Amino acid sequence: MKTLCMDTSHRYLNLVLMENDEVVASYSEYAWKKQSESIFVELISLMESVNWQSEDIDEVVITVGPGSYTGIRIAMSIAKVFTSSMNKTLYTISTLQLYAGLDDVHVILDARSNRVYYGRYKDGKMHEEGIKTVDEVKELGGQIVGDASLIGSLDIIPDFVKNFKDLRPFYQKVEHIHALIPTYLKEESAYLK
Amino acid sequence: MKDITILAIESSCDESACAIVRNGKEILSNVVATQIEVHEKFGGVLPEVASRLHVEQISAVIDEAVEKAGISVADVDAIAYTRGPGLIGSLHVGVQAAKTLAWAYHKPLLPIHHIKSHIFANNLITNLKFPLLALVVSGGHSEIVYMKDDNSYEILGQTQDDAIGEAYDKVARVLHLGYPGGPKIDKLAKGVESLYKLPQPKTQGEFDLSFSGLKSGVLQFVDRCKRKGETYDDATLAASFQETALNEIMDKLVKAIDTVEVNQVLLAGGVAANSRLREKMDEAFKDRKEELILPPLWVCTDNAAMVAVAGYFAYKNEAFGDFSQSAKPSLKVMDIQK
Ligand SMILES: [Zn+2]
Repeated sequence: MKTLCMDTSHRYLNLVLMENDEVVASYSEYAWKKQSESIFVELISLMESVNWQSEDIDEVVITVGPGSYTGIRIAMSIAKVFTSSMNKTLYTISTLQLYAGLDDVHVILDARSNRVYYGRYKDGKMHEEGIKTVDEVKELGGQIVGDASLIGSLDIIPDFVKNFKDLRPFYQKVEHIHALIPTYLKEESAYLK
Repeated sequence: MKDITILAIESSCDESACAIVRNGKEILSNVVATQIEVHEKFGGVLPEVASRLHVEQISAVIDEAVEKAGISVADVDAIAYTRGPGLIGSLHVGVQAAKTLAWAYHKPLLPIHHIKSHIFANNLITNLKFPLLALVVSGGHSEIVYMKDDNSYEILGQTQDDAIGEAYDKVARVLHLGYPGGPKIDKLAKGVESLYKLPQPKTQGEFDLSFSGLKSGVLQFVDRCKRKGETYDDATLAASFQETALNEIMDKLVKAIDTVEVNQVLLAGGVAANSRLREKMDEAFKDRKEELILPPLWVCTDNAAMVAVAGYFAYKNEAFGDFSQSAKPSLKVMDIQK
């Protein structure tokens, strides 16, 4: 069983190739606004490194947001077209979940205008997901993952590759691939102005 | 000669489209998922809304085009896609979709310039005879283009500010006609005399166009009437705007054609559907030796069949792209010409 994991939804480009749930190759680099031009270049070289052909892939896992609107759509466009056209299986996880992995953490990702995408995760399970103001997250105790520089600490970047692998039991299978849309979280009015 | 079959994807603005065309002529399928109803609601194309609809529709549009064509993606020779110009967020979706198919099925990529597609679309209804001159008029473009052969492209004149379609949309808003403005103004102005005097466009280059002054002229006209408590007739204002704008285009086109030797004159782009523009073209070329091609509406509006035709010529000219090329909202033809 060959699995391709892709995440382009925030500031990193994350690609993981797994064979029978073991990581065989991965790419994880800061790529803010560069994912669109680099994703295929990196994917192709990763595939070559393990001698896989596109048709060898059995299943694809992507993050569906929340995050950068443009970013989320990159991996999702690729995954929707690939899995529907080639008859492969598609799974999704939340971007916040990818940041949390199996840890007991608060995830905060910059949503601009003094707000964050917020996720409260424990053992891979979601306890809360939504939008919070930066002031609200300053009050939180416990461990924070993600854009912690927003609240005056250092950013905490998780091990994306390990998290993709560990979250296997939480992958959600997409039944209707054509109908899949990103999780934007922000209300419509945010972009209609 | 071996058949060349191109699968093409277009997502530069508000249509998610996929088509499969054989030899730049024979349409095996041509699927367009239009977003017009959504954009009508907002009175124009909002880029974020358009991008959201593209990612929603793209895989279904491709599947439908492949199914209708009755072939497999494995059977096509190359994947063509609109690289630009257009809305960046919209382009991204189509570019990734095209790269996905090229990667998945091991096919070459053909990045295509959107305006070239509009011109090449005419090959679907006639045989292009180079050298030719094309008047490209749409919501995003207003250009007079000279093509010596199927691999050359020279802009003789272009708009210095607004595209003609944009000007129509803005004037339509002033007249409360809704979006898109082109067809609505065309309909309202039909058979109506243009009695109001509006400012004549002024441009730098000999064949260049300009519509922003005219658009402001319409706004000032309306303001002046309101201030003085005078009434004006909407249809007469629509006709006055349309005549001034189209006369500007025709004037430059006729001047440009006298500087080149061409076999054909083509109309391209969404505004090519305008009935008054077609009348004026007919009139201007009635006694000239160049063949005039006025394409039907389905050829003028954004679709992927036109991208496939441009792709067919690009394939023959070996103008292949690679996986590192990203969407380019302000793509110039020179960037991908080979
Ligand atoms: Zn167009």
